[in-house]
Amino acid sequence: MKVEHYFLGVDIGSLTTKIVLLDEGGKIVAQATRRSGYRGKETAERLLEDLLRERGLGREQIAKVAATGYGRITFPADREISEITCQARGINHLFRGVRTIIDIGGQDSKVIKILPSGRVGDFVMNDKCAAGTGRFLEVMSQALEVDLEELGRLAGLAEKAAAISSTCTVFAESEVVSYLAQGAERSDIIAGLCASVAARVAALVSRVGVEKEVLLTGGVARNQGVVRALQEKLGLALLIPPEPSITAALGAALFARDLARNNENVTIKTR
Amino acid sequence: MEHGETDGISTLLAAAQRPSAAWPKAYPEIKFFGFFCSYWPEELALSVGWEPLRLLPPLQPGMAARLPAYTCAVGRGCLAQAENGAYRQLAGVGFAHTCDTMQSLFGVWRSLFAGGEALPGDESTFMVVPPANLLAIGAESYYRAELELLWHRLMARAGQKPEEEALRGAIRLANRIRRQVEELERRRAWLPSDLVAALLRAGQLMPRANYDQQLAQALKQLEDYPSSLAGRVPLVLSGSVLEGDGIYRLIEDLGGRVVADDTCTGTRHYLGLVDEEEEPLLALARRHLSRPACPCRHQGLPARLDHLKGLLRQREARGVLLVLRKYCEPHAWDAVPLRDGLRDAGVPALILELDGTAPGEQERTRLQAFLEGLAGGS
Repeated sequence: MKVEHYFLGVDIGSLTTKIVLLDEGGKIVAQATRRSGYRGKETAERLLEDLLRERGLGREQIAKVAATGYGRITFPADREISEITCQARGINHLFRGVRTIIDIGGQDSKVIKILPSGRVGDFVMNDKCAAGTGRFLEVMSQALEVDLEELGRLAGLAEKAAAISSTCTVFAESEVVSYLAQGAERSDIIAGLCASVAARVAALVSRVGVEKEVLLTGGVARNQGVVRALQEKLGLALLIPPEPSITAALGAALFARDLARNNENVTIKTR
Repeated sequence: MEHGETDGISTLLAAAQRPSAAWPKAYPEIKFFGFFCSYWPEELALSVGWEPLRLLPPLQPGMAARLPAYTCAVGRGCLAQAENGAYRQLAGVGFAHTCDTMQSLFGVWRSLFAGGEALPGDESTFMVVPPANLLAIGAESYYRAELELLWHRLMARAGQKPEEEALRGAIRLANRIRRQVEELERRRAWLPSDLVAALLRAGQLMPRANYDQQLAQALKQLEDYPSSLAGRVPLVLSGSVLEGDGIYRLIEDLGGRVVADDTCTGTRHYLGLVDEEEEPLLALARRHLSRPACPCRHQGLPARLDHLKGLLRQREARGVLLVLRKYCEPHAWDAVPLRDGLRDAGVPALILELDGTAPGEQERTRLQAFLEGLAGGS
């Protein structure tokens, strides 16, 4: 009886850890996401154990593993690859026509240009401050006492977006507190915050230039407020993958499959 | 100095790891003279009998409270060390007016340490001003006169009279070292990037005659060094002062190799020989005017771009990494047009900003993605 083999992509991000399991045909057979917490590596290990148990699979059925994300070097994998390259690979697999990826993650935001071959043509990153990232929205949701997942819906209820002049998280939080003290509508403030993220990300996009199709990934892609504001700012429609958080993990899993196909005998790292 | 050592590589690696501030204390019998920049003419200090010691910040830079936060790590870290008394034993400190930080640090240094116990600032702090436009008419005669003035001041400080033969001897020693560095450069592509960086940095810290001997020994050892370029992505690395090997090690970890180095503490420091047949001060001036410039000096608008493209071609590199130390304005101004010029010429280039010299995870991600692109996609 033939034993099925699978290929694992692990993306240990600053906020969430994602894993994707591919079969030999490149089809996603399982995926899972969990908050990274204090130790992303252990979160990924637990996530994998749970996923294998649910699927009735054995660890020996995982032929190759590729890791990506900020915690990639901590995870024992056959290969570690930057999330920029993995993101491009994952998106090129799902959407051949995409030339620009905007990825708004928990800790940074990135704009990646993809060549028709699927390779990275250019990229820029904002990782020096929280402005324009998921962390910015998380801090603001706490200040507003709103669930993070609710921000997008509430932004849609705004009558007039509040002007958030600062892109700095600390100063923007002061502005939010000030608006609340003035009795401003929470939805108006949230819409203003989404516009602030969009403005910051649009500035990043302008550094590499926009080439259609443009696709948005990362957890923030689920926030309709940011999506609307960014579409308005860029003057174009954004493609959103059905699962915008797992595309880098998907790219990693595809690279893991390449390793097996190329029969690369790579030493497993155990850092 | 490392008496009895015969293993040149180990001696030089140990020397490279010893912080600048530790040298005067470790070797009180040697008179060290601190300097900051490659435009400082080491030969003048050597001719006085002082050993030139490049002042580098500690790997974990301290913040000198009297300098604003937007000052580079070199300025902040070195001043913090000086205030902690690390440089009390120095015969003096030499500044070259290359950037605003160096110019301001010279003033701070002189005023802070003026009348100090062992480092009276006014008498032991020296400034040399190289011509901003190295190709300008009169640059050569101006710079020769500037060097002559400086030499006389150093001699007065040492209580000596200028001796041309002493200067010629210093030039011969410095040239011997530069020729050996040329030899090291010929083998660079087959050697780990961090090893070469450390070997070159040692030559700006340890006494020069000793370095000359140990480097000769190291070059013999390197003939059998078991390393190769196989599978590595060849890179040109350009930047300013790098007091540690962190970025070189990271490049190696990620499958790259620095096959050409254009950093202030790397190969650029050693480029260009002084004409030993020429009048010494004029010959010194000519070396500084003609060797590849840093962004603080001007040799024509495309000079730096052409230099990097030339290195790329000669060493068959696939891309250029422009390392930008945070708050280093001259390099920041230079980096964007350099990157754009390289890209226009079809050369992949990445600007990587570093605060210290040990890159963090974010820098690792950028560099890894760049190298993955150069390697063909992953």
